[in-house]
Amino acid sequence: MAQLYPQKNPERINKARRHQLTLAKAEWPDTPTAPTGTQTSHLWLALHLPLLPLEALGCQQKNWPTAVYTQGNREQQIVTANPAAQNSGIHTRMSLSAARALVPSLQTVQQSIDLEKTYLRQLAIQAGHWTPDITLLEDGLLLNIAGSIRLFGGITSLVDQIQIWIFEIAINPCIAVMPTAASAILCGRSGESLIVNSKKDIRPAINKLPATYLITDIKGRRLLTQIGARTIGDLLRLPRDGLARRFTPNLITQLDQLVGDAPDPQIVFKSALKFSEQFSLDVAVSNMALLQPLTHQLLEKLCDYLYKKHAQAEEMQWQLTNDREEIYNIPVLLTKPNRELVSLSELSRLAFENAQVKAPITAIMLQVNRFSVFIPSSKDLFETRTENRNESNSIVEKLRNRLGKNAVHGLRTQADHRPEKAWDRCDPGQIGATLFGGARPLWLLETPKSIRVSNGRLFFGNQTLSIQPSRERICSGWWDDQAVRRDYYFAETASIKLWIFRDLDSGSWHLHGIF
Amino acid sequence: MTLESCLQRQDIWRSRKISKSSDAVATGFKALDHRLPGGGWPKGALTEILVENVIRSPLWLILPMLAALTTLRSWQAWINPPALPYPPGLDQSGIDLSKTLLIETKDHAEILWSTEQALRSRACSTVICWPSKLTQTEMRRLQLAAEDGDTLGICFRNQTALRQHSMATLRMRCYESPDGMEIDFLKCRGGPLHQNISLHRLRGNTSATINT
Repeated sequence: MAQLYPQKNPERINKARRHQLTLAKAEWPDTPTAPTGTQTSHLWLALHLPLLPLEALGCQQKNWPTAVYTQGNREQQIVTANPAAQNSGIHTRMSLSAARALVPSLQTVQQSIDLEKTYLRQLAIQAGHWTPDITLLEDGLLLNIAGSIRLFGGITSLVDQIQIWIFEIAINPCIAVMPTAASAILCGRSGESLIVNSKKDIRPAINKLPATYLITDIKGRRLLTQIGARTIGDLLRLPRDGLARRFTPNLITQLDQLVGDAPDPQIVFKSALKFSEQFSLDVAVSNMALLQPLTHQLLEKLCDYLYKKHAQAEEMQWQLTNDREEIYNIPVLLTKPNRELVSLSELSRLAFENAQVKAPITAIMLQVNRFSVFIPSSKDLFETRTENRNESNSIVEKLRNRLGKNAVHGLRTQADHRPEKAWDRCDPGQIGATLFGGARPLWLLETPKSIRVSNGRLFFGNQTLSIQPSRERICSGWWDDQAVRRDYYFAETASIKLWIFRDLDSGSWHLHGIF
Repeated sequence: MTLESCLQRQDIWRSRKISKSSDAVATGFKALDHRLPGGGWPKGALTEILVENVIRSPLWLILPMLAALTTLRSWQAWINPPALPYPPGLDQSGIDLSKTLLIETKDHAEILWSTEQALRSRACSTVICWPSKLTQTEMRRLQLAAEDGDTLGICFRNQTALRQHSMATLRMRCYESPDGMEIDFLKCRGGPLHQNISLHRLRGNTSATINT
């Protein structure tokens, strides 16, 4: 692990870390089998990136002296310099002209706060692999890892994994694990790589850190030298009321937050969930079956993304572009949020079968428009119902993706007296209104068929209808311009039973249902 | 293989002995239950009902079975009905509408595909379909899907299909009669082919008399 710490004094840090690790072993069991009560507590991992401005701008070369500057009030100032530039004597807050005079070959780039934020957001999304509880700092990330320790095989194993990841992409990052957020951030910024996990060990760890980390204004710093307080330990030892009077009451809160006596809520980073991945094909594909490996690859990416974001896809669609720049949208219909690769892949296949696309295809894109939170369900050992539920959902999804959304419906009753409005197509599984009233037929003609009247008798085809005397008058719907005023009768031919009505306005007879 | 295990099998025809062991759902009509092997609609199989006019498919004939099976699985699929199965009417007959799945497809291939999927899925207790035409191979596919998914499949067809050979487990022809329906068995796996069974439907309750 030593080569992972290319810092000024690796021995000191390693020693500190080893010392703390023995503590860690005592209180945080390293084996995942041991019971822990980590769910409710907090353990913060601060990830400090000293060269963030450089990395955000993509200046990764180590050998060439490079520095980032910003426009200050009067002059342009150096914000960050890479190790090569630091070795040549460039330091922060140096003016740009002075730096250029010192190292003529210095490469300089202007700082971009926006890019830094974007870069941190990307890092946060990747760090979502370890915990969902991530806060963005100005110069790094703050991860609450208390809930992830058992999952990743103990605290050292987890920190090692995070280290391996961050050392690959950043220069000289610093990881500090502390029980309070403020102390973790502080130790991270000071370059102290350490793991502390009980509150009583916070003070020894931060006592030696300079007080100027907390007090940044010039007046306050002057006061610090006047009262002879150089370290945070000095500040912690001083009487609180005096400190609050001399500095600001805010400082007391800050100190309390450091040692864990005051609450320190953090804003959890919630990236706007968005997934959109595209493949451009070098060779246009005319056989849709050949797209299968590509769709699989895109879906794998999606599932990985969903896993990291603790989310499920609610609405997704494919977009195919052909060589004439025509774009085809192929929605995949999901009845319930999903993040299973196998079923998403199957549904996509059905949706592709249904789609009418003019090949050859030159580009393929997968988009997810809506997400929902993934709530893991606890499974009952003896329960079989959940499985059935999945099966029943999957058949609806399958049918909808192949036949289109409008081909598959449920049926429900609606509270309306008009027979043609007393029902409704709905999403499968919905429950309708309870209806009261006379007997209703089993078949309904959606448009009533007129009945021939001749010599005062009604005819259905060639058969005479005999009408039962009881009638049901339905007059309704004057409010939506589809008013009906009808008398309904049961009628019979020799073989079948019908539901007919006489329109009270026109006096004409119509067949409406069959029993 | 013992004789006993041979007798357990459904696909061995045993002259007039009706095998009682088969899995079946009571039709709700005594006259029909008496004559059907197993005492009802065969489960895990396809039943073909030939009618004079598919628009007047006798839903009342299958309603008691639909109501009995409604709690068994999640869905009851209606595939391409010739008119609207009227929800208030079904509701009055004791059918749980929230389990109804109405599938309206555009073409013949889609009817077959969705019927097969529904039969095979094990998510539907009953699948009722109205295919316009059905070749022998397609019929066999549906029959196998019903066996595979252990689903009760009902297929309403016009009597024009009478001359065609059928792969369904049970095949019957219905004539409308003044007070109900006359039924002829055309094919009945594991039982004799009864003719002229007349079923009476009465309002409110359904009963049947025997008229052989």
